[in-house]
Amino acid sequence: MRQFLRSIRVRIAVVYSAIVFGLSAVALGGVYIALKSQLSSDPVTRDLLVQRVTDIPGPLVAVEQAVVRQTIVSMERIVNANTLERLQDISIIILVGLFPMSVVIGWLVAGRALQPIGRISRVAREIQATDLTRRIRLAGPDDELKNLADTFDDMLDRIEAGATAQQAFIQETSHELRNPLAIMATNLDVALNQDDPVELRQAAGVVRRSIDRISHTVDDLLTFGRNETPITRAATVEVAELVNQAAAEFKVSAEARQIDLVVSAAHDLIVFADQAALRRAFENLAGNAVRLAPLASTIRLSAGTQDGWVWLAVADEGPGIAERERHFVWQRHWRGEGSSGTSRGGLGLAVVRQVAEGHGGEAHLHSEDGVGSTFVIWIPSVRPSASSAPTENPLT
Amino acid sequence: MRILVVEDEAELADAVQRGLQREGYAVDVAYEGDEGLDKLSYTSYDLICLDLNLPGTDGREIARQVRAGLGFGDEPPRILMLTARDSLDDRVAGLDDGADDYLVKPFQFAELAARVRALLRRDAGRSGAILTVGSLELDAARHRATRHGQPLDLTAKEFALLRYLMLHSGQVLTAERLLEHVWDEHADPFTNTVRVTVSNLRRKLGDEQPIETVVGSGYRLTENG
Repeated sequence: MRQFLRSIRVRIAVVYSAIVFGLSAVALGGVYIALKSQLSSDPVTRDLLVQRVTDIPGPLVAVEQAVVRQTIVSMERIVNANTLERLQDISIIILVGLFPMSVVIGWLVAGRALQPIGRISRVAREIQATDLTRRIRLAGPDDELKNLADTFDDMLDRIEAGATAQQAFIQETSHELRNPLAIMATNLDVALNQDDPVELRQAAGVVRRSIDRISHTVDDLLTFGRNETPITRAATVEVAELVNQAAAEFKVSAEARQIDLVVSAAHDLIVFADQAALRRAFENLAGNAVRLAPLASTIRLSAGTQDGWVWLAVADEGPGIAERERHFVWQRHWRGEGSSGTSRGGLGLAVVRQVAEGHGGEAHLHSEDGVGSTFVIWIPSVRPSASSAPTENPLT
Repeated sequence: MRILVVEDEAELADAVQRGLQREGYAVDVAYEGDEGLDKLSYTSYDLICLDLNLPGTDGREIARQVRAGLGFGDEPPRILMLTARDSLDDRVAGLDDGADDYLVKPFQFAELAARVRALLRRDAGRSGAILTVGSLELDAARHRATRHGQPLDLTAKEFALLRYLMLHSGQVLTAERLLEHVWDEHADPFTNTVRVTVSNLRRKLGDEQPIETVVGSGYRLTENG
């Protein structure tokens, strides 16, 4: 009941009814008062001329003129008083009749005006977190309420897109984690069924590699999550040192594939950056290259500066990335066509782009079929002379 | 029973292959979708362990092609989908595309083996885990075979051959068909490996030989004996 009395519909109906009632009362009261003052203050019969009537046959009745006038005025007063009383009665009847009518009309008008709001809130209530596909889609004239409903619909569009993206992200990430888990589980199951120390040893090696893969994915996830917000932990970073560290990191795995790692980084290159994030990004590029480049090829890890922008590049001599794929490489969970499970897939390149963009920079890919691919991270130095990063390959 | 494992994670594919080989199956591996389609088009498999997400042609496409009659052989292969995706939509889509069963990674190998056995049993229209033909009894799960209640000491290959014969008892099976379903792709089709294994198996089965030679056609396992 309280809820009902508090509803906007009731409030509008009451206010409407009160206003109509009040205005009517004022109008009728005004008419009554004006009429009353007019009628009582100035009897019209006062100026009536009373003449002796002489031409009427019969006995002459001598009447005092004043008495006659007095009588007529009294009569007028009585009639006026009656009329006013009548007017008062009628006014009260009208007002009493008007009150329920104004309440009903106010109730109906308020209901009609508020109907779309009821629809909007009903749909909004029905929309569950699990089913974001519903929309209000309010029909009708292009008014404030339609505008409100459309605004809700737009907001729902954005929420749905966000939820879908998040769902896909979780799916892809769990996929990324489940594969190494499955590898470990199956290898251990199969090896434990057999009492063969050699096979157990091999299984242990597989487990070790899978754990590396899982920790890499987790690191990427953390970097990715951290960089959803702007880079906060910036400090001066020696770029050449960072490139050398990455080269040292991948020396062993490159040697295992007879890959020549060539490092060329200009000294005293300094950027203001989140060192851990930038290093992670560069190592993602280097790691991909070392893992995927053809056996016995050369990988170049370089850094330099151009137009006030500092670049870090990894160039391989791989088969190159197909033209139509190049646009997609930076997306999360992109997997190269025909690549194996240990491909560039996953968050790796998405992290690279995010780190670059988080620093106000850009990530570029230059690829040529049969020649190789070059991945470049551009970071603006303290005073870049160009507002956007150069688009050409800095290595050519 | 010949199985194809299509899985792009090489270390997983190899482990599944090793495990299933120990269960007595002939197992081939394809690391990419197109390689899988290739193998399916020239070998008659009894079952495919199929990863859903493959580079190149993906698992669902392979399942569709198999259901559409890809390849050759007496019966289309059963499909066991292996996947890291476990949403209801994914499972429904996989089953709709023709998968017979669905296993979500990471799985226990014992479960994979049990599901493989169950799927292959469905082929023979049997429901129990133990096959019985005449006096022969074979328990695939425990890797035990008996005749007249006496345990038989069989090698993995002989066991696999006996299981295939028992699953198709009464039918005449050619040497080529046995080679295709009991041996994997590394078997040399020009050797007499089938004949040798059959004669070893016969020797171990003893008197009242249940394996008949049908001259000019192949072998048949009969109930008498």
